[in-house]
Amino acid sequence: MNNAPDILLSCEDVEVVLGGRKILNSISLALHEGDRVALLGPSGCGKSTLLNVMAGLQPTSRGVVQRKIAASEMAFVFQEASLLPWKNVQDNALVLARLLAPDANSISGSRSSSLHPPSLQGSPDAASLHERLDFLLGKVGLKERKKAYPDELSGGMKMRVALVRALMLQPRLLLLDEPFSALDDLTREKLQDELLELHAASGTAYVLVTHNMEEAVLLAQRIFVFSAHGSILKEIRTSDTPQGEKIARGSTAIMSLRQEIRDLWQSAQGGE
Amino acid sequence: MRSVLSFLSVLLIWQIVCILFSVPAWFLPTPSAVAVALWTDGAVLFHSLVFTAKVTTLAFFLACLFGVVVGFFSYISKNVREGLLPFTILLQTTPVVSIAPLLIVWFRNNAFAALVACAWLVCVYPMISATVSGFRATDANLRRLFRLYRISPWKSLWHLELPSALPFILNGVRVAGGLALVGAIGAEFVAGTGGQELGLAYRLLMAAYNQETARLFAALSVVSLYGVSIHFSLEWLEKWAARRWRVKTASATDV
Repeated sequence: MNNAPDILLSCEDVEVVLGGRKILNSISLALHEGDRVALLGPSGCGKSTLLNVMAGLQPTSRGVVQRKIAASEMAFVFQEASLLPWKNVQDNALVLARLLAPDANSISGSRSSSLHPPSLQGSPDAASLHERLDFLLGKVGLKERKKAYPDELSGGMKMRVALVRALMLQPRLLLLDEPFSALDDLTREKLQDELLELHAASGTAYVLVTHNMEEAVLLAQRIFVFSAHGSILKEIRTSDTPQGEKIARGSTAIMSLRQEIRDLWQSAQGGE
Repeated sequence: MRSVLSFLSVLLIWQIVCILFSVPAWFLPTPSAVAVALWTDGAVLFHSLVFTAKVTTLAFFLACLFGVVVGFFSYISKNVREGLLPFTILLQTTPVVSIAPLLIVWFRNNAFAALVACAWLVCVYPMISATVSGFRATDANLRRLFRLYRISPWKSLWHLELPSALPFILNGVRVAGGLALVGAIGAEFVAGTGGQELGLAYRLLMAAYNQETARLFAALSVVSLYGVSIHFSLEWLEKWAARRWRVKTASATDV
């Protein structure tokens, strides 16, 4: 027995060529249960493509991707909240969980099944689902806005709903594709803190794609720094374990990590 | 309120100008003469309206049905989309009224069918195009998510694509409604005076032929009123849907 966390997913020597251009170049990495990972690089460096490779949405040209988890154990959050405008906060947050539930009827509660007496109608599943929803909405401060529609919410609130929708699936791996980059600075900082809190509460591993050095340093324990040409320059660890000491905003640790990343990019460019 | 007032004052000015300059009735009848013609011709005009409304409504519903189905299949299949392209371009660019004589030859024994076919051709393209752009407006991220989770195409259609497309489809429905009437009247003009069942266009032609201009205006006002009622009822439907699905379509705010 060892107590190293389980591997969720691993990429070995992955290469993606699109339209004759090499987007990703010999990427090898492994993600573990509970990991906080950032893929950091300039725009167009292939980090979002790698996220799609991990999800199985992007075929690889070479290399092996091994997934130890099912698609339903992964959840995605995009740069846009991508909410359904005709559903309120609660229904938006529940839509995927309901569609993916093995017995969708009992959870939606709209149809009665002849197999269950009405008194037992879907209660355990539906109840636990709503309990979880309340917990998550509470964490992001939207418990009172359950009945609001997306067009009544701010950009930050919409993004919170998207985050809750993803976490409602109880994923083992959360894939975040620049989820905060369209938000203003204050909202972004709040959401970054909330993500860390949610991680502390659930331990769900996440992979965050970002081009923001500070965001990577604050949110990730392992930072994969990308070159502009789709290869990993270096993996930087901000602490020994995903649960380890978090880096505070404005601390000297941030400064030195940022400098380290800057140096990496500079020397990579010099080498061309 | 202001629009009602402006409409009524135009009628009043019209009446005054006709009397003041003694404009001949064959050229421009007074609004009151038109009102009288409307009253005396009422039964006949109503009969014609029913006929034209039948043509328009049938063509309109067939176009909606066909447009949504074809639009859906050209959204999901590239083959359908590209295969249909020459025909949709032809449909857009050929003035459909010029196809009417051909339709009348083909439906020699059934004038009603010829008129419906012609009106249908006029309004089917906007339905196809609205449906396609509606489905295309579906959020690409969510489409990827649904694919990732292997949610069945039917569930995806019901929960994601169809509600996304609906406001666009209803926008197309409103446009098609107006065009169906244009098609029905235009086709009847081309079909000429030979038919035995008679619509509003026939009334227009006959009144013009007999230089009974007041009756012409009476028939014309029925056509306009019918067109206006189609427009407003479909616009109401569209706005209701835009509210219900909380989507802003380009046209829900204009007019």
